[in-house]
Amino acid sequence: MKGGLGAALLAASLLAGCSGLKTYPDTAPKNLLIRAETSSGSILSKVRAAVHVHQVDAKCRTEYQGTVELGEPSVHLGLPVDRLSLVAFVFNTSATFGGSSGSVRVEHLLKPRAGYTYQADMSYANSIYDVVLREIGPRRSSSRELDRKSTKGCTPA
Amino acid sequence: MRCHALRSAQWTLIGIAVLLVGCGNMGAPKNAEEYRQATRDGARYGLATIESFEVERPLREVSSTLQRKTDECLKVAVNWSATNHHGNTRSGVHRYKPTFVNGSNRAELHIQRSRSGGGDIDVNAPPGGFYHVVLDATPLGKSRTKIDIYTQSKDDDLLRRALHGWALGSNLGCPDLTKR
Repeated sequence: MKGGLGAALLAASLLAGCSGLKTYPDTAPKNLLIRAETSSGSILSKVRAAVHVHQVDAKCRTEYQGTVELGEPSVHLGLPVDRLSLVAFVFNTSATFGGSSGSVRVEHLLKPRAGYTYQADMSYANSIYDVVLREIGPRRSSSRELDRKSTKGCTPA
Repeated sequence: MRCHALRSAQWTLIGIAVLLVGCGNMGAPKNAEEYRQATRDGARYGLATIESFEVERPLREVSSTLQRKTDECLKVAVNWSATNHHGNTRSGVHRYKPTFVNGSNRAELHIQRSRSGGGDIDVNAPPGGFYHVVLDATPLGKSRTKIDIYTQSKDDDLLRRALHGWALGSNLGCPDLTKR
């Protein structure tokens, strides 16, 4: 019995390792609130939201930092201030009883500013998805929607 | 006598097949205007759809939203793969090519799609792929705009719904083209 449990745990850890995903080491002060609302519109399929964080260096090279699976409607996480990060908002769709699956991704290149907070609203309904990222000023003095920018918009220093 | 009738039926079937294949390839619209005309023809028999509506937004605003969302959502390539019950996997790519035409008194959006790999062959397709959706926006005075969306297949309903939301300015989400 113990052997069976051990084998199952080993298999699970191997599978987790194979996916190449790791949990984002959320150590920086929380400055990004992510709210996700997902509905596939059918009992035959499901949608899961996740956020992948990559660090971007001066030469615009990215290094994967980790992933946050959005199991709850809202999650707070910390991005390093004054450093460029590539935040990829992802919707993973899959059929409830196996079959087709898919993934769509919206990328935002972001350099969080000290004193500012950020809010991302992710939505997926009836195969239409959206991600709106806002920058909110100190003491909520201002708020503006940020344009989408991928690494294509990154200029090497 | 019976043999002759069978042979004649065989030639008739071959003829119909050749005609159908010919129609499928030669009849494919090569530009947006041909696509509009083919959609009008198809709509008469319930085989295609022209969705027309008016929005309380000036053409400039509608045009700006359409252009921004097109850049964000439709310049994509969708990679797909499918595995059958024998474990054989096929994969391919669907590339979308949106073309935005911004005139002083009219805006147009043409969406083409090309397929490659996975056994998909787009025979006789125009450069950029077959046309899937054409949208026309024309002004009705200073603050209203008329929208016409031409589609020929139920498969393009998702694109049509997304364009509808962008034109209204009410739903600015992107269509998940992996679900098309």
